[in-house]
Amino acid sequence: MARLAHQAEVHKLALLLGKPLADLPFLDKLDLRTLRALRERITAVLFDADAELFGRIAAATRLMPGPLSAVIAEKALGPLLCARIAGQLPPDRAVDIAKRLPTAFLADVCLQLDPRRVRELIASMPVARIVDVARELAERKAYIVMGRFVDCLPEPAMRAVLDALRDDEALLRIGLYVEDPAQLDAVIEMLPDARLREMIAIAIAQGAELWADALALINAVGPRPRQRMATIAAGFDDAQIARMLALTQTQNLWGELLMLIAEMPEAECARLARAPGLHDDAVLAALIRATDAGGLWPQLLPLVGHLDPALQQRAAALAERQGGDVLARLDAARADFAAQRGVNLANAARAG
Amino acid sequence: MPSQKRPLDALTEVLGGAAVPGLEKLDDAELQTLVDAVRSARREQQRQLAQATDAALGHLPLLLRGAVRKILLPH
Repeated sequence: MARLAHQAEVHKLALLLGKPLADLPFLDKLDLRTLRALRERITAVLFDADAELFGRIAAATRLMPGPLSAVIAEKALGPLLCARIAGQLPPDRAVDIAKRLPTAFLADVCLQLDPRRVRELIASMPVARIVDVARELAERKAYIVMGRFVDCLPEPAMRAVLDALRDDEALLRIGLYVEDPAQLDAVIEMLPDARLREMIAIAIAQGAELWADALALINAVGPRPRQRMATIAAGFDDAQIARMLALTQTQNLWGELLMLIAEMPEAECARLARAPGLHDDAVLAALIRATDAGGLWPQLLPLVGHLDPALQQRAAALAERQGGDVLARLDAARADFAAQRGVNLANAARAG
Repeated sequence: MPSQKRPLDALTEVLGGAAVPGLEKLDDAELQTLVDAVRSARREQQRQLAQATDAALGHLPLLLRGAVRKILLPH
């Protein structure tokens, strides 16, 4: 979550400042809280500095009939000024004007808008209009802006947009920029398994940064949606599982993948333990290193528990090579796992 | 010679006066880049606003423009 949120925040800040990321490499040094505070402050500077002027224009607009206001908005004010004024108009008035504006223009306005400042307006917009604009923004690959709108869209509009946007890669990329984890959980809840499967499959097929992003996104959601995605990922065919493991090894993402593996049902975990991609010393060593570094032994153990005894011995030998203390932590975790398993089996027998 | 503001102070000033905790991790050159970026975004916004206001006034009859401009832009 932290890496994803940090990366998304850097992108949003660069967008707000109208600068390419390459011009602001030092933002990576700042922690998430500082980045957010900085963006809030810059947003306030840009949005509030001319608030008095925006208010006057908004007041003048109220005196004109809706059709004329729409013409002036599009032909004279332009998207930036409309975005700044939108929050100062009564929502019903703003909706009346927005309904008359072309979709492309509304999309331009959205690029300049701070959605949190116009929540009421968004809630009052006809769903069909929101869908049109979402399609236009997706066409332009404006994923950062769309992610920020996800935080503010009411449920009926969100469902309609998800239904209309059939590009699952776009959905994945938009998800990276959603700020509110609860809203992200709600969106995943609305998506059928087939679309979630497609999103993960695309990330595996594309590899490179998209697999890292997908894993970060899965780790950012709550336990329930994460469990659902883990079950879906575990259901991929052998070739996809092999690619998933290879990408994880290449990009050193074992810590992130372990969080997913830990949520997999036992049968799928056992299948994963048999995957040839795991039966490689370099892979096992990297897995153990990431586990120890992240204190993720409880997450690793369900997988280790399903490795055949010979492979478990190899894993132990590799752990020992990383230090006696690493082996000791592996052994302790294995003992905990065996004890917990014993308790579970006893409980199951009693229940049976 | 006028005293030059430290970049961290200059950034605090362009952000409205209160310090953002954590920015001390940046060196002076990086802070100055941020100061310049915020100022440039602000200038660009003002340029667009002026352009948009002129264009909006252009839609009014010539005789009304002066009066409306005074209402919208009294300063």
